[in-house]
Amino acid sequence: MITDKLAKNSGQWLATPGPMSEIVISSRIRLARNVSGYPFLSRASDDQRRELAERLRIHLDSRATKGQWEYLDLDQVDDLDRQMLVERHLISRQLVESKGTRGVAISVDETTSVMVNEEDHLRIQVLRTGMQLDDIWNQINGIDDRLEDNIEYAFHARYGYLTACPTNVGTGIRVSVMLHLPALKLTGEIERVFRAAKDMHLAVRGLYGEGTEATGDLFQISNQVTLGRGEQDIVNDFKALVIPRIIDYENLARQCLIKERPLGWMTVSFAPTAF
Amino acid sequence: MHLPCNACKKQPATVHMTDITPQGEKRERHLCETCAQKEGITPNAQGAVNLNQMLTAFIGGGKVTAQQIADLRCPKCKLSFVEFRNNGLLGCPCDYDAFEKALVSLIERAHHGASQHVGKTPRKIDRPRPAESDLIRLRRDLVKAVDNEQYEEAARIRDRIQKIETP
Ligand SMILES: [Zn+2]
Ligand SMILES: [Zn+2]
Repeated sequence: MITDKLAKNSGQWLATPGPMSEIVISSRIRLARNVSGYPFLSRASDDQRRELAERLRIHLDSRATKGQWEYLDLDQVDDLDRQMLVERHLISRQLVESKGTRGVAISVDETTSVMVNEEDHLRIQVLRTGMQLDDIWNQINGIDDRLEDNIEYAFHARYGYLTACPTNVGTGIRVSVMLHLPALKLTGEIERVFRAAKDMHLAVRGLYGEGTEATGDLFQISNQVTLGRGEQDIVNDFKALVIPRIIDYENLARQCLIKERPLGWMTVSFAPTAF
Repeated sequence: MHLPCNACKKQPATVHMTDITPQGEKRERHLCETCAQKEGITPNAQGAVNLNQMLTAFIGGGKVTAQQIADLRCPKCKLSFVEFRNNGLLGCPCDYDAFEKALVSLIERAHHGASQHVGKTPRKIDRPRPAESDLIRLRRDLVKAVDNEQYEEAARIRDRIQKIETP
């Protein structure tokens, strides 16, 4: 059973619009971390999984005692509640579908969650409405620091934070911004955004919410490269370069639609010198 | 990237190789999985031919075999490189060292050529020791030398790397 605190909240923070919210629906950062001295989860025994969850829970619960966090053992959560947690983006479907001891610590305001024993030992995530990447980075960096005071992470002088999948190695950071781009979609210009994003090694995917209507106007843009660039640089790319330009393009496309003007002159590039 | 296969020219190439001809020339080849298999290269070895082995092949005059890569196994968690290629997940932190020869090129491809962490480090961990930063620099020089096809220079750099790695 999910505690009353979470149930009452019913994800209401999502109803409060954030900065640039007419186009930026939400922004999110997650960090992948593993505990030193244990195998990754694909090679971990049941005992090791349980031990990891117990150790991590102590550090996550220590803050829960202040009433800020709630730790849920996923085996103790029924299907309906699991579904709700997935819909509120607090846990992944992968966590639900995997087997063995696993859990999640959720902040009472539901902006932060730490999944235990998903693909990596720890997946820390902070999600907020609108464009708030700086605040999110400061917050998640602080959470990571506090955990690191008590846990020794698997870290490599050359490869950085070690992850089960080498595509996450290094910073272990995934920055994602969800955008509402109806005009770019309608005019077909979204294809150019796709290409420009690809040039910058960013992934763009159309979002069809689970259980909700497929709107087709929502797009999630996220970094793919996690090695060789610092967290702050990755965040700055989104904040200063990528997202403001996409917002400009979307606004242009909206104006052109209203004035029925062709969009032919528009070029799409995220390169710092262009535009 | 939809490069057609060099052999059949039909299917997209998914196996990318760089090898050295007996004349000492660098040769790049891109094959589809079917054609690669015909040549005895197992799909699990795709992209796994890395610089170090390439140089070993050049210097030793031998041929890099997919078998060498397939035989890699982590001494700690016992995961084999073949198993990793099949499910995409590593078994333990040691795999990064155990599979390094084969993994580096994969990592570089996934991270736009980077193979050195930049950014946050745990506060508990000391700065890299001098030997480590030397290694990082030498590895970078090695890549550059090979790119410029300066194989003798590359071999020299490789020897220096080996000296640091095995004191
Ligand atoms: Zn072929
Ligand atoms: Zn291992």
